[in-house]
Amino acid sequence: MKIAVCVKQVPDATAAKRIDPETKRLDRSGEAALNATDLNAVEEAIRLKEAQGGEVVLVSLGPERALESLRKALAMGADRAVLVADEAAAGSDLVATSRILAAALEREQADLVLFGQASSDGDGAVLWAAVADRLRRPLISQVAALTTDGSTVTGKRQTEHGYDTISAPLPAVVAVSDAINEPRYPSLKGIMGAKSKPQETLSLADLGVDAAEAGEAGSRTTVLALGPPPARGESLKIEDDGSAAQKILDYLVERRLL
Amino acid sequence: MDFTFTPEQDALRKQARDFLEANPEPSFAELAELGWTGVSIAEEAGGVGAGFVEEAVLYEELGRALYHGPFFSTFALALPALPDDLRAEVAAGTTSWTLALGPLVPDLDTADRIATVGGDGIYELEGAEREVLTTTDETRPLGVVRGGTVGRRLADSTVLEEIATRSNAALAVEACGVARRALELAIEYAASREQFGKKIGVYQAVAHPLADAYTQLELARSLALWAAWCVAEGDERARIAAAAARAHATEAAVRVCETSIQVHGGIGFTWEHVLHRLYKRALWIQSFGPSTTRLRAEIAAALLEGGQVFHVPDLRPEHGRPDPALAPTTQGG
Repeated sequence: MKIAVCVKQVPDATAAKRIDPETKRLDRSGEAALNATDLNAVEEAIRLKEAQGGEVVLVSLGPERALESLRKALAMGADRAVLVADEAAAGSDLVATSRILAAALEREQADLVLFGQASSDGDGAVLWAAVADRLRRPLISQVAALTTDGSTVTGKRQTEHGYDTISAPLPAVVAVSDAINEPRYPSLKGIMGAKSKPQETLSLADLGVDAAEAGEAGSRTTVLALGPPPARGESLKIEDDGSAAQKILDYLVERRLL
Repeated sequence: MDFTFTPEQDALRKQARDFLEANPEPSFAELAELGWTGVSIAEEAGGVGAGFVEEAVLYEELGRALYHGPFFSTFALALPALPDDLRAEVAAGTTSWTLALGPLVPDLDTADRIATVGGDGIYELEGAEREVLTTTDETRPLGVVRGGTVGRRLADSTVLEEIATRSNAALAVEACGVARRALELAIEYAASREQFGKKIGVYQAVAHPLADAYTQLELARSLALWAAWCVAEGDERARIAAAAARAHATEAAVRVCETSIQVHGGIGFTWEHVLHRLYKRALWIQSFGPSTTRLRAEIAAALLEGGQVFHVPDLRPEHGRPDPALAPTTQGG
């Protein structure tokens, strides 16, 4: 079975975030990492491959340097990586990104396309739906357990009230939740061998995507404003002299929070 | 020459740190799952075929995490003596080793098998009684072995020099890992703890010792990584580089830990705080095997041997330093 996993390079969780006031885009020049919840999708793909054989291909859209982060997933056990890196794709919104990824996935013709829950920078959690729609394939989202018999895929979707068990014929798109597994640590051998695995960098032209349909030109949304979270407002510091509990209670009651 | 770590070595360090933070007490089998137990073992013997620089990355991170287990004793002490079939078992994570070089043997509580030096060779010691002693550093206890029978001959005693070199380099790098964590804790504390209405880091009595500690650690780490590189490359200077690195790094680690304890004030003395464990590991490294005085005597002997000044070759233009101002006017010898 051929499994494609869509992954994204995001700013490292520990790094301070900066927003470029000119472009209103997140400054991505700092320390980067592979999006944490994408690792769940990579892990699940590798487990399926280990159980049933096949190939795991990483598909990503991002700058050239995103290859560094893709290597972590290659070290975990993915077989090869396809990165769409094109200046014209910078600033793509959901609509443009899904168009580019769908084109890359069409080229791969995978039986199963896996996504993580959401990216830690965009936090949209809708890209998988848009890609599935463009590919005209069934979608199961928020999947906490996944099985496949080679012709159908069955996912247990986590909901507020319990689980929905949903089956879909392959080829299909599945977005996994972070409850599905515990991503493995890459082995030393995996780390040493990751660089020599096939890594392909494609341009929009390679995929037959018109530059006018990508990047800001191909986006249907416009970012009007983007700013750091507001500084925390007034805070009250209580030195505990035995009456702290009462003071906290009074504070909460005063603001009708209790 | 490029002395930066490769992306793979950086990835290994990051992975090692993440893993050890999440799993502070991994078993030898868990390390095998990560492939660490095959690090510098050749691929033909079931290993990963990486080099001593990768192994050094692991010593540094394991030191930082105060790992309690037979990694040091297996790789820095026993490995050079092990034939390929036994190396394959180590790589697979099924057997760990320690080596009785002197009366006090490390990792007797965790190592599976024991090698011992006798006459002109290194042999397996079978069926020996082990007594693990109560030592200051609880994370790497020492013990004594009694009785037992001499088993398979593992190697010629000529490997003892390689063992000394590898263990000196390994302990130097490990000392840097220990010291780094102690320094980070001190910096974090000095930047958050307030006294007289200010963060204590603004006071010179705190800031200056921290700057000294940082300087010592960075120098020690440069030496230690150079030694690791020499070992990895089979460079002829490896023995002396490792001795120099160990002599400097152990003393630096002890001083950095002492500085950190001072900076921490009262809390640095408490049993619950990790600092005393780091300090004790630094003291362990200082006390195990040759003393720093002994190491310096070895370095001096090598420097003066045959009238060759040891470091001169580094400064010759053909060794990548073309600046004529730096070239020695008279060659040593």
